[in-house]
Amino acid sequence: MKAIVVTDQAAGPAGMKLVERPEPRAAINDVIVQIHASGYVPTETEWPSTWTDRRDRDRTPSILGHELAGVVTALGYGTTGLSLGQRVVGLADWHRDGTLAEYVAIEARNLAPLPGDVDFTVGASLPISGLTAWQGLFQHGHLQAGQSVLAHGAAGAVGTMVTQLAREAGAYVIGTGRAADRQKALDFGAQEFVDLDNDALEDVGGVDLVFDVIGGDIQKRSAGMIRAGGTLVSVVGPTEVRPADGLTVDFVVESDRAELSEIVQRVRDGRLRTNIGTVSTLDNAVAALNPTERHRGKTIIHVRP
Amino acid sequence: MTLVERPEPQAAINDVVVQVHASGFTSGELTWPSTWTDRLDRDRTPSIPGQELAGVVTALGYGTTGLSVGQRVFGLSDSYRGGTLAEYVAIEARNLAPLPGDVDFTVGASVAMPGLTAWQGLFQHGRLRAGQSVLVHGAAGAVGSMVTQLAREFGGYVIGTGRAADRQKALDFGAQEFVDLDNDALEDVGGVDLVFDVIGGDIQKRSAGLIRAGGTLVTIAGPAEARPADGLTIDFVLVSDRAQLSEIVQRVRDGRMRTNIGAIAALDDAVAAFNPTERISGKTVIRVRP
Repeated sequence: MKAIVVTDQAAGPAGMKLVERPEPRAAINDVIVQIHASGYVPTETEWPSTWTDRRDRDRTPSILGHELAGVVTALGYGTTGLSLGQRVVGLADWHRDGTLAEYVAIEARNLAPLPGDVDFTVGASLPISGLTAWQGLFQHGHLQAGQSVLAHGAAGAVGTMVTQLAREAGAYVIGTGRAADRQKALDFGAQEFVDLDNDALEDVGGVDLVFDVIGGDIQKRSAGMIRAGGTLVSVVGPTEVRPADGLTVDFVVESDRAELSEIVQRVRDGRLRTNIGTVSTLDNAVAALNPTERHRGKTIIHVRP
Repeated sequence: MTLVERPEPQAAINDVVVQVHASGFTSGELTWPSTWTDRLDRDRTPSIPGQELAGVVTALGYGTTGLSVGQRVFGLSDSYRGGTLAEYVAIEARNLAPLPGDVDFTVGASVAMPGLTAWQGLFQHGRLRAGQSVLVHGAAGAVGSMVTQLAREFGGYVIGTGRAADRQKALDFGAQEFVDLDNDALEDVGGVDLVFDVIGGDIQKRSAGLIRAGGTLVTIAGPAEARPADGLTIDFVLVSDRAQLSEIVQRVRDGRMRTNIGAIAALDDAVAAFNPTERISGKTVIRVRP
């Protein structure tokens, strides 16, 4: 099968190549999915899990991409809950071969059914951004109606999901980003927007929850704005920054069938819009995933036309 | 099996490292491909066996949430990683649940696999309803005793099976009838709605013939050719699940479920304990920390 692989950690994303790889086989409780659409996160080549397995052994050549939508073509030993021919959506294991390929072997519990009226391209755009937003706001941030949320990168893949889910849950959302992101952030539901290059972040006043996707100085200043009992939720890794009287939670998103189904249901009934930038094919994926301009929205690779 | 020194494991993304207090082992593990190779089919020996554990979290991996350092936990490791017959194991946090302070580590390690197997087989795959009848093979065994208790709690009528010597134990765990597979005629049971098979072979085939229209044969003995005339066959391998583990341990706390521990041994004596000279009914648990 065709797949996008990396073999040289030093080369970074520039080392991506389209090659032929053997089709994967289903392990215990796996399914094989024929990939229709695949999503990729631009920092994947920086993650240790792209290069080694859980025992820290070299696992290259590694197939990139972790989001997928496709059709189940085989079941592993003991696998239940999904059927051959079923449309599915989900998030592949960080330490296993990914979804920028014609087929992937994946634990069934990392997938949810994809309803027939949701396009594969839309499906593949949802898992990381949708689950990250869901888990950050509800599991880790314990968001309640009436609270205020500072959503950094509010026009980005994660930020647009955070904004929409927080609004639906009854929160007041202050988005941030660059000047050019303002209209998009407001369109996705942000009630205020802070241009991080030109506005004073501190003018926002107190907030209950900060959803951080940036780290660094912005993270630190944001923590200072959190009200008593509030939470700084971050996806940029371990941090020493703490609100004066509150929690900091950093996390790595995990796949979850029930949460994926909640997200897909919201897309079906119009409560959640996805944020797709570019759609390309597997043959053109290396170029599409190494753009010369700034990414706007999620790049999706349509593996099967 | 040999007792050796191995490096302590490192936590991967979303893992925790658990200091193992008690560990469970299933004899079938040595026949599973996952004990010998990883998911890419590469040799992973020397493999540390053991999938069940109860212990205390000593480290969190990158991005891990939901569990804390010092927390008592129990659960089931990935079959491709195993590793609980050791002083420490690295395991995905999602495969563990909190172990309440009043539940002994030995008890925690003994209920994870039999409890989840029974729960998933009866409710997820068998869709058991109150008033249905369940044929539970190996009813005095580690899995069968859990199946019997859960099926009774949810209103099932339980017919246990086993060898003659298992009769009293199966009845004590709640079976309403008992069939001695060596001496009684299985077919005398009449129709049942659900068969919980842990044996396979001829008994599985004959059991399928007893299933009423719309009923289910659930098996953990691997892919099966046997089908009920008008019903489903589901073979499955259990998957660890935090919510289900919590349901099970809650039942152990409040007395609705009793564990079925056959033998307890220290890690130093584990090799001998897993190669017993006589038949042990129930789970063998290794107490890694005294």
